[in-house]
Amino acid sequence: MIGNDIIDRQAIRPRSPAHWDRFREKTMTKSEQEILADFRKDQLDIWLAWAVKESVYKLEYQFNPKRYFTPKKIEVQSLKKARGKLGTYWIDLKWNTDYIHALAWAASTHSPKSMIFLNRPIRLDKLITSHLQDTFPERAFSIQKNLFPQIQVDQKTFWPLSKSHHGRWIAFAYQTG
Amino acid sequence: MERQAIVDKLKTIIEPYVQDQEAFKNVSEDTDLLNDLKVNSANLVDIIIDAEMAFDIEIDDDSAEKMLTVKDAVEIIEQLTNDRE
Repeated sequence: MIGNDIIDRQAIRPRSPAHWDRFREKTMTKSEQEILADFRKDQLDIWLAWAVKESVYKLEYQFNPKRYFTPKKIEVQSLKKARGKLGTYWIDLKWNTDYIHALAWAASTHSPKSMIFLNRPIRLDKLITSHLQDTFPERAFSIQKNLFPQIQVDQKTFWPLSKSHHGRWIAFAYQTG
Repeated sequence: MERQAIVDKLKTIIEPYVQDQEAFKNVSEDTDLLNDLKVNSANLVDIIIDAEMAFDIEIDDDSAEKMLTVKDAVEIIEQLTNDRE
């Protein structure tokens, strides 16, 4: 299983330093604040942590589809690892001045692939199937939408899929088995 | 503080973060902040912080976890403002 989250940094509403201090206190544990202390400029620490938490939340929601809103219950342990309610996960974090992207996957599963795009006037599912057909031309794919999305490869094979959208950016991630 | 006054003030706090303006026109106490108004989860933190400032209260993590609908938020704010008074 996987989860991914993208944040459009230009879409973040400017707020006062006091607001961001409060935001940091409400969403990050003391340990996370220490781990990400070098990234406080422009609140990058807040958004790195947030993207990781969202990606882990989306991953775990597939095992336990119950909504909850307690950001500190998912904890960043390093730039490559996070602990959720149900386990510990590998994290891949990418960021630049435009976006932050986090990808989470269970340690025992295949390393996922992810793609990030500027928003396009085309449905995300269409973008995903075109990417898959270019990458695996011998196969036919369809996107299944049940409680959570999956890529159907054949009658019995489903690949985990995670979709994300914020502001100008869209992203998806999948595992091949 | 009167419940209706809390509802009115809370609506002005929520409005800037609402992505579904049509749903906001029909907002009721049963409206779900994330699912109905399409407030994103990071903005829910902003709303909690703005509500703390506006009502001069502190919403702890356990209370914040319960703030999924307008009714949930109003009841938590009502309780905290009553406790303060």
